Amino acid sequence: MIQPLPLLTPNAQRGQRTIARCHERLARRRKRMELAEGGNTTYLAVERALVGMLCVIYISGVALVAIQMLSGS
Amino acid sequence: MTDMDRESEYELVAQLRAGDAAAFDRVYGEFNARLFSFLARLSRRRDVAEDLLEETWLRFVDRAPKLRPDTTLGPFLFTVARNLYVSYCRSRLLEDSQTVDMIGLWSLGTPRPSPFESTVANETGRRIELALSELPAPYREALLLVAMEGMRPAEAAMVCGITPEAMRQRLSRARAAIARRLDEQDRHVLAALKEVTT
Repeated sequence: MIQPLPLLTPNAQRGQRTIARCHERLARRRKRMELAEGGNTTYLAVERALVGMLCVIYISGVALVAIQMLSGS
Repeated sequence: MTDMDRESEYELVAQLRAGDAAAFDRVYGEFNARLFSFLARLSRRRDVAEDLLEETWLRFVDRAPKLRPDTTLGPFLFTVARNLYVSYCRSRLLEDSQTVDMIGLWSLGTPRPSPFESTVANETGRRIELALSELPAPYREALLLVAMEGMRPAEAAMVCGITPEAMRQRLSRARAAIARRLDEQDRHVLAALKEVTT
């Protein structure tokens, strides 16, 4: 019924400003995402190293107790 | 989107979630004039439509990272635009109190096939534009979304936040109302012609 109506044209200059603002926001977000990803990677590596260290200490402790028990008997 | 299959749209949504500016430009190119037309005809004011359009894009960019992978961009953008218009009406209490200046909304400089076709198209367009502008806002937005944007009634219902059944009823009433207004315009023209010729 209203198909003959043409598309209306918005102000081009204002459109350019809007695009610039949107690009700026997108760039800021990309930067934040990159920082967050970088932070996550470091955190994961530290976490793995810490868990690994604790495991080694625990297993060493168990092995030491076992050796002491065997040598005592 | 008109020229885009669902697969490409999913890809575009994924790029938008990652903050890709090129993907944004593509969406902007596809929807900017359509959103502006919708907002201008809904608000009946160019300046308001320009403001709401800018705000629509800024909101879109802010929400882009949280888009669901299967988001349909058209209904999503029109929902944002419509919600902004509703907020605007609530804050300003200007709904239905605007001066209708449809000539100011008419686009200029678009290529036209011939002077005759252009005159006929313009005249028809102006009549429909005027009839449309006189409709209550709920009818106007229903017609703009379905008849102009080509959305399915279910999609338009989603944009307007009503059930598909309510949208179908609204559409049917809107079509009847606009037909009545067009008839009234014809009667006025005929009456004026009679006056001139007698």
